[in-house]
Amino acid sequence: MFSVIVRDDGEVALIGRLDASQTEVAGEVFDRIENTTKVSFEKLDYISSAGLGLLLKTQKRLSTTGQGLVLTRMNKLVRDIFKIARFDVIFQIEETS
Amino acid sequence: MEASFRKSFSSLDAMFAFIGTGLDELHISSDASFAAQLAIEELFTNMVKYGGQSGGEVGISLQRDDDRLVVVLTDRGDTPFDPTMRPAADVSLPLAERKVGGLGIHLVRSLIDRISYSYADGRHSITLIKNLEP
Repeated sequence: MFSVIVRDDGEVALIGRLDASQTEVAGEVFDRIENTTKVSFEKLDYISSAGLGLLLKTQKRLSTTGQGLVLTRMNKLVRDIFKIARFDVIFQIEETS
Repeated sequence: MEASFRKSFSSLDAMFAFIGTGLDELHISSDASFAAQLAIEELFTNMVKYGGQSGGEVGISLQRDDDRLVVVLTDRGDTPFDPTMRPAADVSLPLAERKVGGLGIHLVRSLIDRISYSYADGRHSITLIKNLEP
């Protein structure tokens, strides 16, 4: 249902559905991030406030050292949720070409 | 269509399986389906976290009324508890001041067209109405 992969180049890929029962799995990866990191949403189908909260917590922590998450390849439905949460102003989101 | 789920995070998989199938059968578009799934999850998890009476069950019904999707969540409890009245996050704040809590209810209020709550005979009932594109 949900998995998170750290690629060789350090990019993190979210896969499946990140709901409130999966934040622990995602947190194990996000809590270890210390530098600016790309996060691919290409294969993420669903996210709720639990997943958004984890991203926000990580972004707040990284910002204290001038680092941050760079979110890429979001589908339209997920992108809309980021806009409603006004996460598009606190994260760098790379537009899908 | 209607089903009940134990008030626990471990119910989410079964709950989403029911909602996914139900919304498909009602021919709900992917946009409205995403919004409904998210709103139901946010309210269900609020009931798990703050609604007391662990071990209870939450009933979920899905119905299409022409151009509206009607979702009703029901739950037993000794005192009124309206998860839709929890304070919403202030999403206009800069990063350093943003809070993790309250995001869910902000999303529900933004995605759902009408939300109502009632409490009678020890039973909470939350009705969500999502207008559908014609």
